[in-house]
Amino acid sequence: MTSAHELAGKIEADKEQVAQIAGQFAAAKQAAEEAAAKMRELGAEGMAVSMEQAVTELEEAESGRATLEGSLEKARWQVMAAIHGIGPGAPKAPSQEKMDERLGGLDVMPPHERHGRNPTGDELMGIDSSVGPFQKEHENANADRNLNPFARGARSAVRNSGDFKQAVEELSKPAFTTMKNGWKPPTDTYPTVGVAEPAATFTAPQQVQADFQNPMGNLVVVAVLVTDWAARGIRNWRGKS
Amino acid sequence: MASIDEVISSIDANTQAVSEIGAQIESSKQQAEEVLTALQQLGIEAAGHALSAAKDQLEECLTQNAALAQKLEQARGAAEASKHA
Repeated sequence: MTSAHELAGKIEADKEQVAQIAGQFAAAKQAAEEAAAKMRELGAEGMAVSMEQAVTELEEAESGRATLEGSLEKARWQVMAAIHGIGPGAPKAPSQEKMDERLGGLDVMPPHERHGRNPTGDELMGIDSSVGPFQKEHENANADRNLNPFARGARSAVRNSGDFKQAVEELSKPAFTTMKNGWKPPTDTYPTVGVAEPAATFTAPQQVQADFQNPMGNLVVVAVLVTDWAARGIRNWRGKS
Repeated sequence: MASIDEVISSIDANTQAVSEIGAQIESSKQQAEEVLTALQQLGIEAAGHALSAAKDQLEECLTQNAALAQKLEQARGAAEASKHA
């Protein structure tokens, strides 16, 4: 959308202007500092106090300037998000862009991305997340004491799988975010006619991509469950409960 | 004292620059409103929401710019006061 592009460019220019006055802000502060120092030297206490007050104000002004620069940058990103969907991306041809808008959220997206959040590993396992990581609940705190180490390890892994899963998700998230951003619907499935307004045969829910479940986290939970199952299997085989 | 006047005039230059930037941000905000209206007429909701957020953000920028101008005014006042202290 051309006018949105222009807007993003204008905000960028505004931000540049704010960036460029950093130099003169610094110069003003330095001038005030030198003046205050000279006054101290000359023993003009009252004058020095006032000028030092000016220095403080100018420091705060510099901080405000930096904040403004960041705020303008944020506004620019928001306009870019409006243009491109989520985050930065290569500008698309207009017909492809409209096609993506219509198709977004339908059968071109894998089901686990389409349907939103599944129950977390914590909820499935009944793990109480109000208990801190690696803390045990007060009751049955030492119930595992009599089990063999492998079983204790599996029990502990099951209890803490929520945190483990979260850690793995955090680590692998950048990779998946990159993959997700690079994912485009297959272009050769639908013929792109070079007409500006293809007839709308269906209306797609035009929402932003639903948040996806990080598969690495789910793999971790599955691995932990398998370990616990194996531990139980071993215990039963040995005749203990 | 010459150096106090130098301080005051450099603060004035900053105030001038901040005032110009404020006018620029105001014009950006108006441009954002125009684009937002166009998007709403086209019925593109997602982009409309994002742009509405951008417009609010620009409003925030205007507020920050005004606060910056005021801060410079206070600095100027303190510098001026040092002449008579």
